[in-house]
Amino acid sequence: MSCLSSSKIQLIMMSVTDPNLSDRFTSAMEEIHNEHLKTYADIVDTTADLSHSHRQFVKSALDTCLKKCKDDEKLFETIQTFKRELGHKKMILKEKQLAISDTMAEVQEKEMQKEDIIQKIQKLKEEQIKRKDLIQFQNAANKDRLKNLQKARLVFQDHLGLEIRTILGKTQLVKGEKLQFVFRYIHPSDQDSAYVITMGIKENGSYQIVSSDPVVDCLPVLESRLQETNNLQAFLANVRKEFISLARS
Amino acid sequence: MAQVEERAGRGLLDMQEEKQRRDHELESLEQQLGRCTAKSQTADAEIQFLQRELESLRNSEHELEALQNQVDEDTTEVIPSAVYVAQVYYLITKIKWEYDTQPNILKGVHYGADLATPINIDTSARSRNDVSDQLWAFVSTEW
Repeated sequence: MSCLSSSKIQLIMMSVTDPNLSDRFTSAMEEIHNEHLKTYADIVDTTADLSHSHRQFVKSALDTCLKKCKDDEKLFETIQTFKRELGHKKMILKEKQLAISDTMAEVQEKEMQKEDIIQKIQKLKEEQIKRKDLIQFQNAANKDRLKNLQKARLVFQDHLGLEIRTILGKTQLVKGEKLQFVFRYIHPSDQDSAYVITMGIKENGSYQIVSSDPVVDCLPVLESRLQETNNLQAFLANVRKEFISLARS
Repeated sequence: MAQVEERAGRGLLDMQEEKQRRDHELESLEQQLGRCTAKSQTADAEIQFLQRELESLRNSEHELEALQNQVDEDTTEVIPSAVYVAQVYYLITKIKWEYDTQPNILKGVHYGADLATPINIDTSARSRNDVSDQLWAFVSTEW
């Protein structure tokens, strides 16, 4: 009994012969009891404290664990999300790659088409230049020749007073070429009035008179002479003589 | 558990890196696609332009055809006809003209059967009927 102090023991030893013994004993016992109570209270307090702090400790440990668990879960969730996103991105990248290669193929095709058209254009241009040169040269030569031929024709027309017209005949009477000889400068006062004789040339080269305007009486005779001799110059000279005698008589 | 955590954490970092890489890749692919698409469109425009040029060339082809036709007509019809007429004139008159003369001077040669006769007429001094008569005098009425 360590709670029993030596002084108290002394007190108790002394009080054996003391009449207030029971009182003093009771109070001492009470003191001891109170001390015990205090000690118990202390112990209880300490135990309570310990228990409390232990509970706190456990609680905080549990909280930390839970938090960690949540964090880890979040981590895993994030990882999953990332995995999904990455998968998604991979798909998009593939799509883009495909789109790019499709477009590049398109561009290739178009470049080829372009080349094709450029070549066509080149060829056509070259051809055209050549042809154009040739045609223009021919045209110039033709026009030149025609100009000269026209000069001769005009001189004959304007001074000889004879116009020659060629008509392609389609009538039954005269097949093939038809010729018209238009005489002018016949009439003394009306120089421009026309005296026309129309004739056809058969395939064998012989002449056939179609008409004359104005009418010449002896035309059939002249015609037969012409067909005998084939002398066109004489025929025309004689026809002109007839026209003149008609006009100037 | 700490090891697992560490591994997971590192894995996540790796994935983040990869995500960034993929994002960059996507960006560059987008740019590439943009450039390709632009090229394709440019090619379209170029092709359109070229086809219009081809069209216009085909049109000038038609013009060329028309000119060729005229040349052909001249060559096959107009010139032969004019030549024929010139031949008939000579056949009838036996006259060949000189062209580089003064405006009212008529110069030429008549090639008769035996002799060639020069012709030199001042047309301003004579009436047209007279000139015509004189020239026709060269053509004999004898059959």
